[in-house]
Amino acid sequence: MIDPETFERLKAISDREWGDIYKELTAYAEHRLVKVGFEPRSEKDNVTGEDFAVQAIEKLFEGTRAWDFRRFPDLLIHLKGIVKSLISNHLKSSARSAVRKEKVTDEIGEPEKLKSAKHLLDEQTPEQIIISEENWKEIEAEFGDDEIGVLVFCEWVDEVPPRTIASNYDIDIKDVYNALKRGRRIIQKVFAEN
Amino acid sequence: MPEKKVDIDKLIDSYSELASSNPDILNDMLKEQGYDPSILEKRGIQKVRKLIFIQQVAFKKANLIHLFNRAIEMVNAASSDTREAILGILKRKSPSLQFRNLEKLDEENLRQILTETEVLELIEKIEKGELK
Repeated sequence: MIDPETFERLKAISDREWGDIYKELTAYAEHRLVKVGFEPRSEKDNVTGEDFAVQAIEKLFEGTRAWDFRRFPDLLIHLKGIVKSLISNHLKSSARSAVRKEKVTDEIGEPEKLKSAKHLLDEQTPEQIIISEENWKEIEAEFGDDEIGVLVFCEWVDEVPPRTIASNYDIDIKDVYNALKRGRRIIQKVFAEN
Repeated sequence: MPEKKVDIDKLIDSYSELASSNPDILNDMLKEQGYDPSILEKRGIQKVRKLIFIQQVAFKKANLIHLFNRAIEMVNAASSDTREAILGILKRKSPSLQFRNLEKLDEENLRQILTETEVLELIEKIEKGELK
């Protein structure tokens, strides 16, 4: 059972904040299920991102994935950690079939052993995907005349934070988002064809 | 561009940061994913309210069991005079009381006989030594 002090913390969160947390968590789960577009969904048990958001919040309230709010005050980060391990577990058990030959998938830590908050997101061995030289040519060709778009996308793939990209190119964060949205559609197409 | 290894976790986190930075972006992402953002938000709030309610009920039940168990412990530790007085109170409350002594009285029996308020009064009287 959840400890009373943590429960009081959760009760103190407003409806509005819970609504935002729920939405962000659902969107995060959906991105994770398709690896932000690099891998199509193909597992037989097609659970939605919202299902994982619900499971994570239920585990939080049950106390089975306890939130150490003193050490890790950001609840959303804690919930994302839970979602990450749930999805990792789900994909292992559902034996996702579409595995690209270029993809290098390292072993991810056992979900039940995972601890709390941000380090939970960080401590797992990273999962990597290789974009080949051929892939890049296709991606650049798909962007066509949109030179800023392809540059924004390349910076993002180089792990430059979206806010920094916006600042570097003196563009609005929404323009960064639109470029990445286009880039994601392109990679979905390129990776689906290969 | 040369071949590149991409850390997919970092890209997911980076893309999610966009959602945190701007509510319009979050809503657009959700629409792309097939959700109606306002309906999703309402569903989330309802879900959390329900979980809070369930947890409150669970806490109340646990507290109640703890309270009655505490009363049982106090009854067991009481002097024989006090125990006789308690037995008298319980028999008045429940004339059909099956047992003749308090040895077999457990938390569940006590909950059938006394309300939460009454057990609190009983505990208070035992503590003050008023039952003799």
